[in-house]
Amino acid sequence: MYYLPNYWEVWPLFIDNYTPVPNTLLRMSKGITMALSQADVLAGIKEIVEEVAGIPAASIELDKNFTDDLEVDSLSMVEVVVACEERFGVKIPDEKVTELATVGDAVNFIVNAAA
Amino acid sequence: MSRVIASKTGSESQILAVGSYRPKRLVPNSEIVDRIESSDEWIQQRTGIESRRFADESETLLDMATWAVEDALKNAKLSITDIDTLIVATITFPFQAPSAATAILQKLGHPKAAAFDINAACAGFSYGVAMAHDFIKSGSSKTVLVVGAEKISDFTDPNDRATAFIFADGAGAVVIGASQEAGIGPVEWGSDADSRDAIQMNPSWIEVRDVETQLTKAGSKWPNIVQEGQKVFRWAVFSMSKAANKALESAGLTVNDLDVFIPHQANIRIIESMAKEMNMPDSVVIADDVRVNGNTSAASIPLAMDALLKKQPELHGKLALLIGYGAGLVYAGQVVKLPPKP
Repeated sequence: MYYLPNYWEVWPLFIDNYTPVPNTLLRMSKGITMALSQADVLAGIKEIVEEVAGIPAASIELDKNFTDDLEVDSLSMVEVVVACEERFGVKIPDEKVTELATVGDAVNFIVNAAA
Repeated sequence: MSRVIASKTGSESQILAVGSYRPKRLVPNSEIVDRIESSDEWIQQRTGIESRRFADESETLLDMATWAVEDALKNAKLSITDIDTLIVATITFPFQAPSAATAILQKLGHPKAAAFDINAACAGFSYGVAMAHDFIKSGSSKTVLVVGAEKISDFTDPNDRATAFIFADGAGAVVIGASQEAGIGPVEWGSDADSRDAIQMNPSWIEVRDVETQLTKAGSKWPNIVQEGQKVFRWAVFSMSKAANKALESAGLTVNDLDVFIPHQANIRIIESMAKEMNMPDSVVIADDVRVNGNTSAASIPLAMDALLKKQPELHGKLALLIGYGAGLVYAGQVVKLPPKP
C-alpha cells in the first residue's frame, strides 16, 4: 500500500497553526492548503515513491526521470499519483500523468495546482 | 369490481455448486513474448501472469460454457431440467442473436427455461449472480444457472503489446437455488460510463461489414479488445476497493468477517493493491488464479472460485466477497457463502 499519512504528520506542511481537522476537509479546502513549497512537495514525493516502489528516498532528486532513472513502472506511477493527490489535496488527471516525466515535473505540477 | 394483479414472493438464495471448464492448452509467457517484444519478467512484474489458457477449434465458447454447466450440475447433483433460468455472461459469443444461453439449453436437451445473455464484460458474472438472487427472492425463478464464458483469444490482437499477454479463455458456472438463510448478500453495483473508452472492442459490425464490401476505404479491422491500462488500473484499485467495501457494508459485515476474497482476475497488481487498500487481514484467502490462467473476463470469478475450492476444500461454505469490474466501465460485487462440498 502506498503511504497514507495521518493528518497530524502532514499537517505542518499545510498550515502553521496546528489544529486537528479531518483529512477530507484538508483536501477540499484549497484556501487552507495555501502555497506548498517545492521542498515540502519534494520531501512528500520522496516518501511516497519509497513506499510505493521501494526506491530509497536518498536517490530521488528533482532531475530524476521516473521511468528511466527510478524504474517506476506505469502501474506504480498510478499509485504514486493517487497518493500525491491525497497527500497534497490536488487533482492530477490521467492525461497529465504521462507529462510528468521527472520528479521535478511532478513537484512543479503539484506546487502550481495547489497554489 | 377492482382487479388486482397477483404477485409472488420467493426466498433467500445460495450458491449450490460451482463448475468449470479450462481449455487444454496452457500457454506460457515465453510463447508470446517475441511477437510483442516483451519478456516473461516484464509481464510477471506488471500483471503476475505466468501463463494463460487458449482454446482451440475443438473448444468453442459454446462447448466450454456447456461443459462448465455440466460440471456445475454434477456437483449440485441436479439435472438440466431442474433449471428454470439460465443466464450467460459473455462478450465473446460470436453471434449477435440468438443468445448463447438458448444454444446451451438446446445442446443439453432442455429447451424450456428462461434464457438470455448479459453484456457486463468482466463484471458479467457478478451481475448474473445479483440477478439470479433477485429472481429467486421475487419468486420469478427457483433454480438459476449463471455462466461466465469467454473465448477472448478470438477478439485479441496477438501483436497488441497492451493486451496480448492479459486475456485468456475459459468458462465457469454456478447453480443458485433457494435457501432458508441468506447465502448471497445485497449487490453493490454501478458504472463509470464516462470511461466507456477505457476498455473496448472496436470497430462496430457495421464498419466491419462496410470494409468487407468496399463501402469504406478504412483498413479492414476486427473488433479486438483494447484497453488503457493505467486508467483501468486506477479505477480498479481505488474505485473498486470502495465498491467492495460497500458490498461488505450492505451485507452487514467487515473485512474481518471475511474468509475469502475473489475479485475479478484482471491482474495480480490490481488484486494486491485492492486488498491493501481495503486493509484486508492476512487471514483472508485471496484468489490469484490470474497467475496461471490469465484474465478470462466474465469467466474469471467462477473459475477462480472453482480452483480455490479444489485446492482448499475447507473453504466450502465459507464467506467470500466477489467483485467483478470491466468494460463499461461497470462493476458489481456481493458477499456470498461459497457452495457446500459436492
